[in-house]
Amino acid sequence: MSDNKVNITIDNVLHSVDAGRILIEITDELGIYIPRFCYHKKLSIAANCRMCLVEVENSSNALPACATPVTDGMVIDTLSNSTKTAQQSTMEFLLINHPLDCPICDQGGECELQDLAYAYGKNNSRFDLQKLTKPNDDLGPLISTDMTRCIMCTRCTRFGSEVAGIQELGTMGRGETSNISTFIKQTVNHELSGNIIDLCPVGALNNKPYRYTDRTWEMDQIKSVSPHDCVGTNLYMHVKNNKIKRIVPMQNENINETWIADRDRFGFDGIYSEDRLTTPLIRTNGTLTNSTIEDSRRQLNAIISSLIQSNKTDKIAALISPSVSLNEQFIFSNYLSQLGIKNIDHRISQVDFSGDTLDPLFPHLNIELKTIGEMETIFVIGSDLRRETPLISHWVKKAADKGASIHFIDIALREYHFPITDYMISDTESLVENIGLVVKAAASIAKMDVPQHIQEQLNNLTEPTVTHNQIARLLFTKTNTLLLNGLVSRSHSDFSLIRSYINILASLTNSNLGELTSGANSVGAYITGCIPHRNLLGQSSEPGLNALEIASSHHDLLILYGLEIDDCLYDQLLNEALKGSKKVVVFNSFMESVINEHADIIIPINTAYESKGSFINLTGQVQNFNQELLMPNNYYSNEELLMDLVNERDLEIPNFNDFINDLESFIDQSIANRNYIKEFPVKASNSSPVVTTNTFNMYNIDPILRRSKPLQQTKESQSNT
Amino acid sequence: MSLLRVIKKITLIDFIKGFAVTLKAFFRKKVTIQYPEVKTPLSPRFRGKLALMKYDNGEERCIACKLCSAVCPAQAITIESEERDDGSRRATKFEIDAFKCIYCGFCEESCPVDSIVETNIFEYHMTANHQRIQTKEMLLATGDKYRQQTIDDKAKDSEYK
Repeated sequence: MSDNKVNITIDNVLHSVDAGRILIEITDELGIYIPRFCYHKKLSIAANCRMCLVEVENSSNALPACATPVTDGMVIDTLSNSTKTAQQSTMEFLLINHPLDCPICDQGGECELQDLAYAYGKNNSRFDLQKLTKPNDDLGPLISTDMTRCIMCTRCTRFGSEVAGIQELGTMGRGETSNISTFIKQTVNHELSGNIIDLCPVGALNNKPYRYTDRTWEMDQIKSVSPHDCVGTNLYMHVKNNKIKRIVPMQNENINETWIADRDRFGFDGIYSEDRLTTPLIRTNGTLTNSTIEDSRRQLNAIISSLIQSNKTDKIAALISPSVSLNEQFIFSNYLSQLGIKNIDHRISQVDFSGDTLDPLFPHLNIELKTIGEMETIFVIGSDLRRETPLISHWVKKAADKGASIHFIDIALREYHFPITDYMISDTESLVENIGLVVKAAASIAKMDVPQHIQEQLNNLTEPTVTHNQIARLLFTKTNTLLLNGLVSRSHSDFSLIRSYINILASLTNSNLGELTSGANSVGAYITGCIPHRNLLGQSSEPGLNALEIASSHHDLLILYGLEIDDCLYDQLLNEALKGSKKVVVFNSFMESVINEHADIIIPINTAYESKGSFINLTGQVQNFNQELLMPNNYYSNEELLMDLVNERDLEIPNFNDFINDLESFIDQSIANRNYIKEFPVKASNSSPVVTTNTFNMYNIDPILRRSKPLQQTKESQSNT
Repeated sequence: MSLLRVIKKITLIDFIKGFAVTLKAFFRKKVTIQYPEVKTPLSPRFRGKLALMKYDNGEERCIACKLCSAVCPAQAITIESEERDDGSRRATKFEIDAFKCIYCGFCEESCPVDSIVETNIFEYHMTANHQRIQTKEMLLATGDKYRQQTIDDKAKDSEYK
């Protein structure tokens, strides 16, 4: 590839670099800093701030490094007088209208303009006329605006058109009257829109809930993982006095690039809600009274002991949230299995369990998330992708922008901001048939490879239409193809059949297959055995009751760990179960009126924002976090609490460290040796009573988000209540 | 030599020399004063008790930018801030630990709105340990009380800044 190399001289040092690349990219890689405002590595080039001007030999003017491709023999001086003068003059112009309100600006201390003015600016101003002021728009409850501070770098508008896909902010007017605003007075509603806070190099767009509370230098930065979806977004929490003040993205090119969803950024507010449970509560004489951890633990033990003595372990059932850490799931599931309790499940948004025997070891996506962006055909089945996993939607958009054909099949029309080839809307009942028709179309293209029993099943269907055929053909003809099975189909009453179809389709067309799961750690729940038909690391066991059966029957003891009624798809049923069960023990972080009404023991636990552990995301990546320092005072860590329960009964549970050592190879092997499901589930005759809902509020999916004030004020929440 | 020493010893000449020094000091102009009845003059730059100032219209100057707490070498200043109803940035908590404060004056230097100032008050006391924490109200009250004095002092010093 030596043809494509050119020699350039930067600051008297000769470098051999790829031809045609942009100068600022090269200097960034070489560690030579050129000041910039409008240039951002993830956005297109605008070259409108002119801060990156550098002297290039034989050029009459200084050239913007962000818009200058390198050519052979170029001689660049980033430190010369001419460069310095150009940059100083640019800075002087930028500062003409920029207010001197750094002391009250939240960006102060992390402001690119502040830093660069210090490093590259003149130390005085020659401008002594009236400064320009601009009106502020109300962009909603998440983003605050001080447009007078804006330097018109247009990063936010480019983010809208290039990353979000919808240009909610735009540049209006020209010259000194130009300003950034929404086109018609409206709020900014995209699920990734919070990222413009990080993009803004000045304090024009800022974090509204965080406004005027703390300064950057006061806070500590802690690495974390988002507990709100199965993507495992990497975050930094900014913490002061053991309290989370704000959350910003941590760059991870494999998962989230530099973006995070709004619910990851603003969701943490929920853990400081007034509903936060602080003391254990025990029901005595019909009312809940404050108690101690020791007492509540003793009482729980007494209940379990009496049930074990009377041989009623099958009358004990437990539901665990899919968003608790791997460590808790491990101890909790082992604790129950050591006690002989089989009725444990985390799949509270799944209705159809007839395919349990066909279950893969854990649902996953067999490629890395960033590879989604390189797919040529993506078929998304039953998923409100933008709301379920905003970042996967972002990766799908990347693929779409590169020209991939994107096909959707769903039960409702949802808005996407990227080109979609087909969008099939079917009603809830015919969703499964429509997917079957795509399989049939694929089978007719594949011809020979289709096993007999599949062919028989497909023969019951009608003839595929043009759309079905087109999807099947594109899945066949393209090499990089992906099927994504979403949460709508996971909560469908024929989920198992849909899954079998999708697996068959994937194996017929040799496509990649991804199954989205609800909660942050559903994969972990499968692996640790928080499902009725499996034990640790996928060992099958004698099946207990599944989530729906647990919710639709009455028990002697019902244990809920980290979940609320509203998290459950069949909340009415669960409500009845709580009412009908003799004893209800709840481990929760928050007070909830329904639970308070029926629970006998309520034990406070830490939220994922305050605990230690790991999440396994849908690609099987184990990501650790340790935030125990944020625990509210006098709290036990969740692990300690559960281990005390284990120790009180002298149970021997497997060693967690051994489990972690085995975990990685287990996950790698399971993903490498993935067997596509080729069988069809045996559907129970009685149809399940639950109907799939097609309205879905992405800020109402877990107890923390439900209590996050800024998110609850968004248009998304307001229109879905 | 021994004779000379004998003479010195007998005449007590060293004693007389020593007492002469004492006697000289006795008639010299006194440098001590009858504190607290009489006080030494203070420089307008004197760095005493901290106070928070207000504008002429009674509005507090402090905007809770936290530069003083950032620059404070003794970490004596604790500030918490939020947006006030009128949209301005204000401190909800502004506390100075008087025991930590070393009266270096960096806070006054760093303040962009001339809110935190050092008055020339150095005679103050507290009777209980917890009183060392001076709250925002106490600091504003100090500012009100010594307002004119402080303004005059700063004006005197301004030509040297």
